Amino acid sequence: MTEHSRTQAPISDGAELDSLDVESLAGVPLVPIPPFPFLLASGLYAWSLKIPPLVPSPIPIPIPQPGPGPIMPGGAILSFSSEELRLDVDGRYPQMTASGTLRGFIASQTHWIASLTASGTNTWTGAIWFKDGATASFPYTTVEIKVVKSLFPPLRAATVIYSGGGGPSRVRIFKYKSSAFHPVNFELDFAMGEAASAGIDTHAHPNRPASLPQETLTIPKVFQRAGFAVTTTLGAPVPIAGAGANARWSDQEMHDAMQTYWSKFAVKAQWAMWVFFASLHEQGTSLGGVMFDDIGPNHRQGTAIFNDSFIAQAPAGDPNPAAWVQRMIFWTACHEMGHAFNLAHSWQKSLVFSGKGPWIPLADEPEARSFMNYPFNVSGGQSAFFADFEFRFSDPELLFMRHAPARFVQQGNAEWFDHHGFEEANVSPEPRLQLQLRVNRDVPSYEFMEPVTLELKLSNVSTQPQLVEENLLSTSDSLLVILKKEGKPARQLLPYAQRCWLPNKTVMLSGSSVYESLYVSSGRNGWDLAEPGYYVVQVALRVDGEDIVSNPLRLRVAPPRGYDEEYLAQDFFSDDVGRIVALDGSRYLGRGNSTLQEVIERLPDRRVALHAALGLGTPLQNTYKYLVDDHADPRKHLGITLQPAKPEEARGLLEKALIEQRAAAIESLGHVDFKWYVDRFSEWLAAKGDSIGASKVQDSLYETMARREVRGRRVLTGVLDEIKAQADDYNKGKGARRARVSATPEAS
Amino acid sequence: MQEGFLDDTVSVHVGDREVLRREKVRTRLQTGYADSYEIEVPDGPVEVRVEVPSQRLASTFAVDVSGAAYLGVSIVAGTIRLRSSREPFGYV
Repeated sequence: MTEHSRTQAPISDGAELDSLDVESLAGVPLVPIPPFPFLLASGLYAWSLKIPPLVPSPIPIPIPQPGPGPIMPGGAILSFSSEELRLDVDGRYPQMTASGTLRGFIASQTHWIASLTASGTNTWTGAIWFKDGATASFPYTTVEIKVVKSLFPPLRAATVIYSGGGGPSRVRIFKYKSSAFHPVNFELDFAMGEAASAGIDTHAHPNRPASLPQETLTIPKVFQRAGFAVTTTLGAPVPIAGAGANARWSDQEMHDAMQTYWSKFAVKAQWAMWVFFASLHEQGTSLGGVMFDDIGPNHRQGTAIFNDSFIAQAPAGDPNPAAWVQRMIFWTACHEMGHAFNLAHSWQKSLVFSGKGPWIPLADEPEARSFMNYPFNVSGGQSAFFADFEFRFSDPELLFMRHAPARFVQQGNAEWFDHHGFEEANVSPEPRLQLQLRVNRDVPSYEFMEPVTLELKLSNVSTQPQLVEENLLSTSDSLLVILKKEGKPARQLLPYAQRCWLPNKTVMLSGSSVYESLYVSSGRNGWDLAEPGYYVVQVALRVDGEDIVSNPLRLRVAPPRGYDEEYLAQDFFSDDVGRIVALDGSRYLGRGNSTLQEVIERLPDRRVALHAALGLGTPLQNTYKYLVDDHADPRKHLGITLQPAKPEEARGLLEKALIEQRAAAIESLGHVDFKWYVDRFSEWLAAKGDSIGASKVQDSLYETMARREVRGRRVLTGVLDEIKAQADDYNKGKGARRARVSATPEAS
Repeated sequence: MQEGFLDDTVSVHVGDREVLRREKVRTRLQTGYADSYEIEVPDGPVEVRVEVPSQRLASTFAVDVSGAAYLGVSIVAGTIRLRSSREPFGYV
C-alpha cells in the first residue's frame, strides 16, 4: 500500500449557523439578528440503562393495564438497554419527524418513526407510522415530545411519552448528544493528474434561483445540511496504472483501488465512503460518475466522478462554461454520494427491480430539484433545473437519510446480521470477560448429517474477581448465536427450549474460565447447518448490559458420501428429527424416531448414527409421560398417560453410542456434552442398582478423556481426578457426586 | 438500452432488417444504463422496431434520421419507450 499523507478535517458539530431572513418593514431599518444554534430543538438525543455489577433484587415488572393506563416511569418493561431519539422539527429542511432506535438484547433493535406537529411550547405530538425490528415489545402508536432547551448542551433534554397500543404509557428522558443525526466520513482521492472538486461558488454561474445565498458550498456542507456530522479525509494521488493500459477505469479496477487506497476500507458496514475523482470510465465520455461499489459483500462504499466525461462539456452558448462545468462536477459528486446513502434516482422512487424496492411506498419525483435527479431529464432541461435548484436533497430523501433504519442507509450495510456481524453490539472498550467459541477437534470439519456441538469458554480477563450468573452460558436470553453459510444470508439460532434459571451469582476469579456446550444444528429456524459447505458461527453474550462477542468460528460440513446419506437426509432434516436430537429424544415423534432407526441401520459407521442412538435410547430409560385428551378432566380435558421404561433397549443404545463408539462420541459430542451424557448414564445405572456397571462406565469415561488430546491440549488432571473419584464412589455403593459442571477444561 | 432491462433478450430492426440482437441485457440501476451500440442507417425516415421477447414486448417507432442520432430505449411500466436526442445521452 502506498504511503501518503492524509489530513483530517476537524469534526464539525454540524450546527448550521443560519441567518434568519428578515423583511424590511416600511421605515424600519434592517436589524441583523445573530444566529442562535442552541435554540434549536432538533438533533440526536440518547438514553442508556446502566446496570451496576451487583443487582440487589429483581426489577419488578408491572402487570400491563388495559387502555390508557398510568404512566410508568422508565417504562413498563425494562427490556431496552439504550435508546436514541432523532428530533427533526427545526433547523435546515425540518421534516417534522421524530424517529427512535431502541436497542435491547445484543443486536435486538426496534426502530420507529413518527410525524409531528407542534402541540405547545417546545412540544410536539404525532402518530407513529413506521416500525421495524423487534416491534412486539413496542406497542405504542403515539409520541409526545417536550424539549428543554439550554445554552449548555449537557442541560438540553427531550422527554418522550409513548402511548397507545393498549398498554400503559411509557416515559423516557433523553439527553442531547448532537445536532447531527448520524456521523459519516468522506475520503476524497483522485487519480494522478486529476483534481478533487470539494466546493463551488454558488453564484459563479448566472443561471440559479434568485433566492440562492452566495457562499462557498462544499460537499461536507451539503451533507451536514442533510443531517450528518461529516468528517473528511483528503487523500493523495492514486496511480493511473490502476486503470490499466487504456487509462480508463473499470468498476473492478476502481474497487481494487478503493481497497488499496481508502484508509478506512474494511469488510464491514460503517458510516464512511470513498470518493474517487478520475478522468474517464471505460464506458467512455457518456458516464459522468458512478457509485461503482456493487461488488463484494459490502456495497455502496465507493463512488467515482469522471472529470473528462460529458459533465466537463458545457452546453453550447452557455454564459459561463467554466462555472457550469465546476457546478456539474460538484453536482455529480453529491449525486453519486447520494447513491452511496442508498438513494435512488428521483424518477425511480417507486421502482421495484429484481426484488429490490423502496423502504416505504414512495412516489416518483421526475421534476424534483434534487441531487438525485438528472438535470437534463426535467421539463425544460438542465437550464430549467439549475434555475430552480438549491443544492439540496428532496424532503423524502432527507426523511430517508435522517430517519430510516440505519442499515438501510449506512454504507456497506446489507441484510440484518449479514456480513455486518455484531457492530450494533454494546462492546466495552475494556472488557472484563472474554468469550471464545471453539471445537473439541483438531479441524472444525463435520460429516454430512452430523449434528454440530461447539464449545463456549468464558474467561475472566480482568485483574479482579467477577460476579456472573451461574448458568450464564446456558441461558437462552443471554446468548445470541448467528450462523452464516458462505454466500447466504446470516441466520439466528432459535433454540427449541428456553431455559430460565433462578438467579444465582457465582464468582469467577481472575484468569479463571467456565465452559459450556453449544448445540447449533437445529432449532425453530430449522436445520441451519444442513447443507455441505463452509459456515461461520459467532456468538454474543449479554452480561450486565455489556455484550461479549466471541471470535467468528469457521467450520465445514462435508458433502454426503453416498446414495444412502442423500436418501436419508430428506427425512433426517425434518423438524421432528431436529427436536429429537436437540432435546435428547421423544417417544411421541414417531416419524422422527423411525428415521433415526433407519439411520442406525443404514449408516452404522457414520457419526450421525451415535446421535441417533442417543436420541432413541434416552427417552426409553425412564417412564415417559404423555399429555393426552381426557374428557374426564372437568377443567382442561387433559390427562397424563404413562409409557413404561424400556431399560434393556435403552442400555443397549446408550452403551453402543457412549462406550463402544466412545472415541467418535467424545469428538462428535464435544468434551462437555460427552462427559454429561456419560455421567447421566452411569447415574441411571446406579439408580437401577447397577453400581458396578456405573463404575465401569466412569472407568471408560476416564480412559477416554485421559487419552484425549486436541491441538496439544489435554483434559485437566482435576477433571480426571473427579471422574476417578466418582468411579470409586460407585464401587463403594455411593451415588453420583456431581451437578452439571460445565468444566472439562483442557490445559489452556 | 437504458432503464428496465433485467437479463433480457433485445432485438432491434431498422426497416425489415434486424440490426441488433443481444442477450442478457441488464440495466445498472445506479446509472440507468444497460448497453449501447452504434448502427449505420441511411438518413431520412426509418421505422425502428424494438422487440424484447423475454418480456413479450415489442414496439415500433418512426424516427427521422439526420446525421448523428441517439435513441434511448427503456422499458417503463411494461411498455417500451423510445427517446431521441441529437446529443449523446449522459449517465451518472
